[in-house]
Amino acid sequence: MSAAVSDAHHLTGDLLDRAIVLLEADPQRDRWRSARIGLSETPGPDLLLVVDRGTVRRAGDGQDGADLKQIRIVGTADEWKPILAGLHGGLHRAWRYHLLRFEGDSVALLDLWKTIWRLGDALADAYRRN
Amino acid sequence: MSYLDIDGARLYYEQFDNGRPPLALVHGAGQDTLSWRYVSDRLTDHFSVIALDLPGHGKSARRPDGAAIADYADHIPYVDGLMAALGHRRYVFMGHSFAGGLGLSLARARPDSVAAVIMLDGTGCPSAAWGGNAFDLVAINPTDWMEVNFRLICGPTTSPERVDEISRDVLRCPPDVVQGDIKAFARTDLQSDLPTMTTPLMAVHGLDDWSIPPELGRRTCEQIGGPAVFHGLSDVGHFPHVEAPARLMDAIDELWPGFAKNHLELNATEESTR
Repeated sequence: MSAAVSDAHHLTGDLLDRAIVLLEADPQRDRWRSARIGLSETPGPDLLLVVDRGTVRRAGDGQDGADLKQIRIVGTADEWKPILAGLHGGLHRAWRYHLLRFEGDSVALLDLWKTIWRLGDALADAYRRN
Repeated sequence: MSYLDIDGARLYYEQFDNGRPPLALVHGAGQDTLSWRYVSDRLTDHFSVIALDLPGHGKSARRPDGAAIADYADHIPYVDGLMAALGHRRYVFMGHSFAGGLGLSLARARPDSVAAVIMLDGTGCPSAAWGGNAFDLVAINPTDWMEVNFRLICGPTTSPERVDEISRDVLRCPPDVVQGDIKAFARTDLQSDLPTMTTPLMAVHGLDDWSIPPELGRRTCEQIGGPAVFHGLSDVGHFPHVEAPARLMDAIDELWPGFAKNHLELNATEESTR
């Protein structure tokens, strides 16, 4: 799946897969609310992450998680790069200062705020380890 | 434990009275007097310290109508009323974060009460980066949002134990009260009033604070009409009094005596009444 994404992109399927491994180890994840989170580095396809009743996975196809609340986090390569590089505050800071665009169901987004925080940390951690 | 009924609300306060000039010590958004636990003792080297829980915070009751306060103006009668009830008609105000804006608002509204403001990671100026509906959306889940916020606005080098401690503070505060604090803070814009204000201002700021960046504290000092001094603490985030209390107090020990000697109207500052 990552092959479909340009090498110029920082946010790749491979990176998300490695971040999911880190998220799977989070002891709090069984308390996370369910949603499908699209991560988009424009121009490029959305990478879809499904958080569903204590599990975290890449969306298997377009229908996987389609019945859940939908959230998208969108930015260009330049906008994603500092977040992935470990900007202190991560996705939380990106939301407060509009460094990325957060779209979709606002209630689900805020309900998932701890998950969003952990997702940002996991992406940055996976990016750094690579 | 000490309580006073002020305007129908039972307010909790802690008093360390030693005859020195009185200091009203006010916590940040979603916090309470416990946030001062690492510095209140050393502050008594300079002040008679009165730390208080704002209405709805910590061990203080809500105001009589039960609603959370979402405007600095509505906090002012409680802070000033408590200090007056304790016999302090004129005092120094020290506030952290959102309470920095509260201190400036209090000094603007009641200049005869406030002899000086010490602002810890606070601001009287808004940030151009804030805006949109971000702070309104926090109402959906203010406790989780604020817990994450507290955790991430600590400095990157702050010990994990202190970060955990800070992030847990907000769990003691009702969500609507947290949201009220955020709204009051988000409305902070005293820029048109600052040049007309003559209250002495001392601002101490963590230089790694990206929540209220140090530029905003510095700009507030530049804009206020009265004497002002800005001091930055390197490798410290939004909570210097918890992240680096010894360094914060070293800075106050160094700065305050000279600042007070030059700018504090000591004759107008009542000595504490025992």
